[in-house]
Amino acid sequence: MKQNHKKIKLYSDSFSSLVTNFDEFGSVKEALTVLVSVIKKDSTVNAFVRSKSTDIDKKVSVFQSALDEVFDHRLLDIVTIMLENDDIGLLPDVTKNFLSITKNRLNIAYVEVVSSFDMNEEYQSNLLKQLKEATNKEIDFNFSVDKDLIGGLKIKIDDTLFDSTLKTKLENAKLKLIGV
Amino acid sequence: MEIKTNEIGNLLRSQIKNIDSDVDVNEVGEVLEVGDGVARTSGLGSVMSSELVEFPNGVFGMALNLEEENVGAVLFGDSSLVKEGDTVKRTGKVAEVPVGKELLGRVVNPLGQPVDGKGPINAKETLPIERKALGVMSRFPVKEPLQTGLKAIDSMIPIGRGQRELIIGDRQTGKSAIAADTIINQKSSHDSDSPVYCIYVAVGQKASTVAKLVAELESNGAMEYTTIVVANASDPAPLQYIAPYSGCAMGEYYRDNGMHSLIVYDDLSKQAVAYRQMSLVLRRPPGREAFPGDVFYLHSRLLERASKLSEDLNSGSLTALPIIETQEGDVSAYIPTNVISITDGQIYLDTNLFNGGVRPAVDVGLSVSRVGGSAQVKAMKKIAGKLRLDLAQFRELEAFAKFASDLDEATALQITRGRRMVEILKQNQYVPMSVAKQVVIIYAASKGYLDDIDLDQVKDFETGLIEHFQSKHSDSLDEIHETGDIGENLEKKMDSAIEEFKKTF
Repeated sequence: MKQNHKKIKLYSDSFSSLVTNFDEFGSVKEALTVLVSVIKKDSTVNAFVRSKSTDIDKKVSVFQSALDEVFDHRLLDIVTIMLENDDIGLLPDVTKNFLSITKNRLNIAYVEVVSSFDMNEEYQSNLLKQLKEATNKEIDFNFSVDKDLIGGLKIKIDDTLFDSTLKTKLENAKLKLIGV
Repeated sequence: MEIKTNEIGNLLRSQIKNIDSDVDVNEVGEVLEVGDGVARTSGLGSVMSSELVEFPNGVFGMALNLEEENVGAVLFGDSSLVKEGDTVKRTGKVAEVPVGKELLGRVVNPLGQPVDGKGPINAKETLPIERKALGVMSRFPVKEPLQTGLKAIDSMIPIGRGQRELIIGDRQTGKSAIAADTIINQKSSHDSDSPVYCIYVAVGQKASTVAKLVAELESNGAMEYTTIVVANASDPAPLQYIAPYSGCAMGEYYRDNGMHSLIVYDDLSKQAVAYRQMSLVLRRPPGREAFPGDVFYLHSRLLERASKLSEDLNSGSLTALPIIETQEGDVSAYIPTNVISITDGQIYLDTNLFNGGVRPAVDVGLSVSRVGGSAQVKAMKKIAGKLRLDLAQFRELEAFAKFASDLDEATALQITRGRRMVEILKQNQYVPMSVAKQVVIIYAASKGYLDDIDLDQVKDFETGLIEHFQSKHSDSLDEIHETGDIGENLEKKMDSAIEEFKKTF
């Protein structure tokens, strides 16, 4: 466990060292998130990565030929090292740690906006601008729609949640009524 | 009237700007995994130890393990309602419960929520369930008696207000019965100027057992001054773990407001087992009997909260009667030895005595009260001083007499008296006795008035004697009750009253 912790830190530091600005952060984040998602959700890829009978060199060559065109070569180099050391299973934790340390280093806030209605581009960019001003940070902006919220929106900035949704207000009222 | 229409718009706009949009702002985390009543969460960077956290669907939890990467929280509700990826919110509050007289007569869960269907509890105050025990300067030595109404206990193992007296014994030896009798006996204190309010904490018991107790307390009029805190066997381990602390907070309210309270923890063995389960699931290292390393602190910090306060703090008290169940009489197991060392004495109940018809089955040899002696009523102290020793000698002689054919007169007398002493210390359940009546019957026995009464007649003699005193010598009972002492005159009066009754028996 402790050994894994060291490795996760080492790999995530390596990924983080590739990033010097917000745009680079966005592209590395996207690449790693997609890769984690494919390995996790695609059963063929997952079985191939986990397979003990497949030779490591074979795994490396498959990844290199598949990702050569789409991945920055420095990024691919680190992934290759992970494959060679049979550490590719640590990629989800490495990605999580990479996001955390890089965000702190580059002063980026992770913002998740969940709205009960769809917002147009203008509305979203206006919100992004206001969030930048309010947090004084670069914003890693993620938007989604959830009609179950009934009305209002939720804005999560890192670990702080601002919730003005009707659903939450109704739930709070319910808890108050039953005396919780 | 002049209306400035051009300003209306501006006024409305400024008012709208100032509207409190009522946005919930919370520090949140994400559930990483959940199972066995424990959730691991990421985020919640500033959460406090023992802080309440809120999961979806109205499930609350308590943050216990604050680790570098994640936070381990125990769940107080149905863990199937919480799933991976759910948002968990900080509440900013450590777990607290409602306290006050509004809780009297109610059955509540360890979170202070009513479970008796009698509607909401409109308590005005709350207290955190975990509080630091008071320091030395806030305390006062135990000096007032807390009458259990049981002759065997009030005479030989007296309990004082603010004391912690352990009730220990195997299963089915009458531990809970002693606690219930003690609660019922506090009814008389409510006619005096220092009433004792009671809290009964049921941990890991069958719901039917608790329901039976509630019915019994109700029928004896004891629920009026009692609160029952219940975490049944079917409740999650975290609720069983916090139940004694919740009850203690409720008891502390009375203590801190200059009143007297009694709390029964029934039982702490089950609480320790619940804590062990929680700790193992939280991946804390197991120690002896797989209990975590801090299981001593689990009980010591709870029982240290029982105390008698100094006059500066209005002289309130919280008396604790923890109960521990032993396995096959093994008092040297981990939890029993821990709690024995924490408390100010123990009432040991013996299976053989119980099966032999001695009820309450108090083993006088193994039972002790370390501080209650100074709180004992003087009258009782005078007559019961030798009782303990006499009984111990009787037990020794009785064993010896089994092998001897003829005994000398003194030995035979001691055995005769001992047998009658044992007989008068027997008492039925839910029939606690006032201290004055206890004094009368123990006085009669210790003076040898029962020596020539047949053993199977002793109970009838006792009942008759008490009735005789109530009807013809109530002044003697009143005097004992008021002065708490037996003077020479009273002693003479009692002698003549007993002789008078004996002639008619």
